[in-house]
Amino acid sequence: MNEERRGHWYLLTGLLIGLAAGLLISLVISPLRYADSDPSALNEVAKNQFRQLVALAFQANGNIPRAQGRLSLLRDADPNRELAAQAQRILGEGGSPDEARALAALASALSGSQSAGPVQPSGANATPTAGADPGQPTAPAITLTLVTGEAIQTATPPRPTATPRPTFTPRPTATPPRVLDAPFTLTNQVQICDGSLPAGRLAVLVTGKDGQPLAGVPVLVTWGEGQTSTFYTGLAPEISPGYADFQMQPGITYTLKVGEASEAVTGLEVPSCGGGWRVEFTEGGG
Amino acid sequence: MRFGRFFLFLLSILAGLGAGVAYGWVINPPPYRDLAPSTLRADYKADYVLMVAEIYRQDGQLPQALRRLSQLDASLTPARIVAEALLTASDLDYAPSDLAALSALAQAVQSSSSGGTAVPATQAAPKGTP
Repeated sequence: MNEERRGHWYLLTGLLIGLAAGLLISLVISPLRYADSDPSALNEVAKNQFRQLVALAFQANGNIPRAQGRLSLLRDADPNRELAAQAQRILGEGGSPDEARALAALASALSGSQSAGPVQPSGANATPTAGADPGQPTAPAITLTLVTGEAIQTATPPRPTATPRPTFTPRPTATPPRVLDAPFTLTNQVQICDGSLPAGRLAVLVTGKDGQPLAGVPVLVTWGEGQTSTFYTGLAPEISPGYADFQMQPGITYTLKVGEASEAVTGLEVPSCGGGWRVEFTEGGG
Repeated sequence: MRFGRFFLFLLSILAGLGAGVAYGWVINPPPYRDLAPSTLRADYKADYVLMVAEIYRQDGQLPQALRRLSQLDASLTPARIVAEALLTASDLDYAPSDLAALSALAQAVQSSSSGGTAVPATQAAPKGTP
């Protein structure tokens, strides 16, 4: 009689105790962890490291399709822009110019290869099969394996990738390293007042001996009492691989130098017409 | 009667436990992003190490290579990371030149560390010819 009067609150109590314990286990003690992930799921720092590695590896092997395939794993909406932005960030944070240059060179190379047509299909299934022909897509889907504290909910075996047997692909000849101390000669310097350049924009265009735009060339701008800014061509490949720009401030006079041994362009200021400057250099002289 | 109530009480705890676990693991799992490189699938890890090996072959900077390897998985020694990458690369039939690059990195890492994880000698040499 007494028990019946107590009702069924004990059921709710048990449910709440169990619920609390279950939440404690699943959210705190043994939360779900992922394994066998793909590069697109990496955190931003790791993605930046991945991009940097791809760029440096490209510098080492000169293999554009392979670099393209690797970058596509990150599933960036615009890989070239990401590369350029990362290079800018590195320079802005005082990082290694070599790493920034590698990123810029890769962005430039990719923009060149994209204009000739994409080689590597993008998407999650483009597994990096370094040994195989880098231009070939590989089969297998990326499937997630969810890991909890002790128990692993394995949906797939660890290596489901059925990589095609490699047929050895001769590597493209590595791009010869840029001769950064080549003298660059000023071939054109003109004020742009037609509104095609924003006010105070200093646009630099560097071409090689063959007339092709040159990426990865350092541009040094100095002003005031020893203030400097160094940036590289190729960080805006959508404009030109040999393009770089700088935003001048009114009332300040700038000096521009391209490469290690070019003549300096002095007396650059925001034009009175409110436009910008376009300055062109050619490797080895005009 | 008392046993019946106790049994139902246990049952309700188990039901709550199941609901709580299901919430954290199935209904509202952590988002599939912001993961660490150590969670990468083995073939992606192998390619990551191959990139390090390609760069090392070019610049010969072992400290840089070791730093990059530690970024992949700080809980493992660089020698172990390269050894696992070699095994995966061998399983996936990487090109001989890529296996050679990995082997060179493995040997360099091995020689730099005393008492590190041994690199399988059978994987050190590229097999087959193009």
